[in-house]
Amino acid sequence: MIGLYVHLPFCLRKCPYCAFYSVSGAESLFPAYVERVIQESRLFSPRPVDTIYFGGGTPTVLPPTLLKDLLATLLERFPCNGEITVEANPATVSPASLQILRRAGFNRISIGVQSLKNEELQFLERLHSAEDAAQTILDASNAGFENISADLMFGLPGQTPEDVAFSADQLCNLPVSHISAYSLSIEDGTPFAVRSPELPEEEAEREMYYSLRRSLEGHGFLQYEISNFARPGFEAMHNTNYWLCGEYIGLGAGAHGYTDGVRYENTCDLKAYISSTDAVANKTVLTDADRYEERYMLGLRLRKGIRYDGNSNVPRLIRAGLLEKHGENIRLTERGMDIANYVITELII
Amino acid sequence: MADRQAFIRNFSIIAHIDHGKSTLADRLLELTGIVSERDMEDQLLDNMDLERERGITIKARAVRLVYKRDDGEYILNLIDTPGHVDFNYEVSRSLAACEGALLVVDAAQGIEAQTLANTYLAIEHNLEILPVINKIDLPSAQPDVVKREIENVIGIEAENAPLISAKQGINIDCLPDYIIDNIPAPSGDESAPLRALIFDSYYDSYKGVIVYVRIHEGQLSRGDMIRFMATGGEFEVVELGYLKPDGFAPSETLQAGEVGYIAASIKTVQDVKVGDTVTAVATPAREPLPGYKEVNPMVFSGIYPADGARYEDLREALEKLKLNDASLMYEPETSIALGFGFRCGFLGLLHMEIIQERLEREYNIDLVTTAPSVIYRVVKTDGSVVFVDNPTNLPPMTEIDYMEEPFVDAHIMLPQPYVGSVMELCQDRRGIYKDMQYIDEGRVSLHYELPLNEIIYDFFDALKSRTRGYASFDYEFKSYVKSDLVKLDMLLNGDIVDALSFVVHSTKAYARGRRIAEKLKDSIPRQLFEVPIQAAIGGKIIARETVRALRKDVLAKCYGGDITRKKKLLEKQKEGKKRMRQVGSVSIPQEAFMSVLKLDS
Repeated sequence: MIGLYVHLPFCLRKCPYCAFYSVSGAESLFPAYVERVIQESRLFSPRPVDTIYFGGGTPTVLPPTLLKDLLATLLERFPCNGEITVEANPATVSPASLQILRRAGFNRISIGVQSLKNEELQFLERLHSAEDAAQTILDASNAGFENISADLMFGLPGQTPEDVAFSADQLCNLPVSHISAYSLSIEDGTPFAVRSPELPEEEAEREMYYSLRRSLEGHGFLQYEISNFARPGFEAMHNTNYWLCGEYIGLGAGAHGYTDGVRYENTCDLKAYISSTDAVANKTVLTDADRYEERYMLGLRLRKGIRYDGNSNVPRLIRAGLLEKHGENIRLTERGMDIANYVITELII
Repeated sequence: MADRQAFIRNFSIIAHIDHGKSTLADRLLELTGIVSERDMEDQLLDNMDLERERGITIKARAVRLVYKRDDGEYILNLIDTPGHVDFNYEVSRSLAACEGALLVVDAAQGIEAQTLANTYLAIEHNLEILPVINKIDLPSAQPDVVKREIENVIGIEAENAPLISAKQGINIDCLPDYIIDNIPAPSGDESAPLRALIFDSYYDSYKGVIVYVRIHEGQLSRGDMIRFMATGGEFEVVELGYLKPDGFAPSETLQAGEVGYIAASIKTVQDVKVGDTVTAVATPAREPLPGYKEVNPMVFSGIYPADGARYEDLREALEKLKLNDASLMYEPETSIALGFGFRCGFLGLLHMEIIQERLEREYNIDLVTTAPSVIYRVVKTDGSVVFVDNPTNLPPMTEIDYMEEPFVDAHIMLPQPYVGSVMELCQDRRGIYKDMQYIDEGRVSLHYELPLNEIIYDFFDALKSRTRGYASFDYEFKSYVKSDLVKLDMLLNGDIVDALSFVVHSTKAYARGRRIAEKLKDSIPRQLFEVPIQAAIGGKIIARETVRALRKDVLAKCYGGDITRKKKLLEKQKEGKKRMRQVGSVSIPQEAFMSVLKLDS
């Protein structure tokens, strides 16, 4: 399987918790940027791809027609009959723009909802209200999106398990088929790192996670990855490819790719990217040891786990209640998921 | 030929760290024309890197200078002394090889504790003390105050002490005359049976052990059979001669009054004891020179390779260090917590630090060291006595009648304003106040008797921080004193961690146990289960902390296929895990063992 990822590092405004590369107020660069992405795509030989993903940033900051043109051009080189996702922020779309996107060929939309409580959205300095977010989901559905994903955040200061369940319940009553749930973490170089809001104790944070999982499962969403839940058949194909160590072409400033056994990273600097002929800033040729470790690091995040390869640390971790057999596979237990990093380290040491 | 000896002067330089001993030695070398300035590395006498860095001389060296003046050509033998209390005995042997000493005092700082201790040592050996005031070029120099200080504290005439600056080369020219005119010439009987004092030795891979000697009586020639009177070892002299700054100057004989070296195919420095007397097998002296003693380590510590696989490397490194350091002792030791390592004995704290640092720096071995221990004298209920240098080996409390610990005489010199704070520190360390002396209006000398085990943790650091670095400190062993001591054990998840056990006075056990438990809590990462940390005396728990169980260790985000953050984290965790020691079911990082060594006061 191979995916195509396009990074669109533009936002209306940077969120205070976000460490991903993006810039705001760079409208004038949109055309040149898109042009450069297309140019970059020509470095890769034409081939069919299984999934396409427009991520950011906030791709929907770009005019929908520009996104449409970009997708159309890319599809000429990389035909795709599968999942084609665009990320969207409720504050940047309208019924009309959603229709354009749907018609352009995007068949999946990932909406940055984060919360359906307004005080939490204010804390996160999101540019939309809970009502806006709900409306965007409905609009997307009306525009013809049948595969709608929503992001949720938990582990916010002062948040309770009930608060988390509230947002989850509300979401599940809307036409969404997939939910990604992320715990707030304070990243270096973000405004939150400076303000350092007091995050909940780990114990409390886990309670929120459990509450969220219970609530989602109650609505028929199954956990298929540590942070991801879906109605059966709606698991994100593009992201699953990452966990399976599949290859993907990455285009755009700050994009990551993995092709022909090489992981690469493009320059983060928008202007440098636009003016470059070779955008790659970092390249790692994977060794067998790298591949071995990545298989555990990424694959174990999936609920179905990975094929048991006889790793001698496994029995001990099973006894400790952190791993379990699952057919031919081993997978993390619920306790194991809480401390996945620990388990993975134990497996590859 | 008494005339020959009339042209020899044997002297050393006594100075506090940083008061300019090495620079002065360099100036004397220049002045006597042996080394041209250009060829000279700064501070020639300190030839170990570590010494140079710390500005201290660890091992004694000697050098022969030739100075011509109207009445003839003089041989000036400068015998360098180690500048630290740990090497007190070696200093005393170097001094015993001299007739006089230059007492170098910093014109801005005055006399320091170490200077005083070594000066008293020199006076004990009947040396002529010649004061020299150095660093007179400093704006803060107060030569008159310092002169008065020398007269008041040491009781020697200082009015005519030369005012010099070794660094700027001021007034250096007068020193050779000052030395020649004031230090007595040697006067040993050169027809008497040979008696030569060993004041240093080192291992040379070509010649074997090089023995530094001062011939007190008689003479020695190449081919002679010699005997070391204390050890009884006999060797044939293969080579002998004088010590030039740039190397050996072989000669046929060494005669009474002279300083030089002997090479006699001696394989290890252990065969050559500093302070021993060399005599001739053919016509042996009846009595050795006075003052020889066996030096015994005072401070012990377990040294383990951080990476267990490097045990053999550590053994080889210790072997090599021991080639040139007879006072370093080590024997294999096994710890449940730390695996295979060595119990090492040191003359003192500095000696310990130097060895540890050289192992890490010169041999590139990461170490885990246990808390230093002194030797306890344990009297058991059956009346037998055992000496214990490792708390783990302490007999069960029920078999102990009582314990004794070593006390030292400690002299601390410090500016008057800090006296209160330092007395408090000494009191806190169970010190017994003996005496306080005003050196001048601004400075005080405090005399305390202190238990050595209170000094070996962090006394220097505490002293430094309380006096902003203005205090100097000196100690020597006094005696064993009966003391109310207990063994403090640290337990992790119910298991005693042997490497963390130590002996402590009962009045301090509670506080110490609690501090260590707190420190351990901070340095032990959370595990899958809750880990109780306990401090215990015998079976009694006196402090408890808990490392809470690991509840969450998972990364969520992986946008756009960026797995670099996950990879970095994994690498970090892998590295961390490699540095862990498994003690029972608990993983302990090396830092945990080290952090308990540094308990701030």
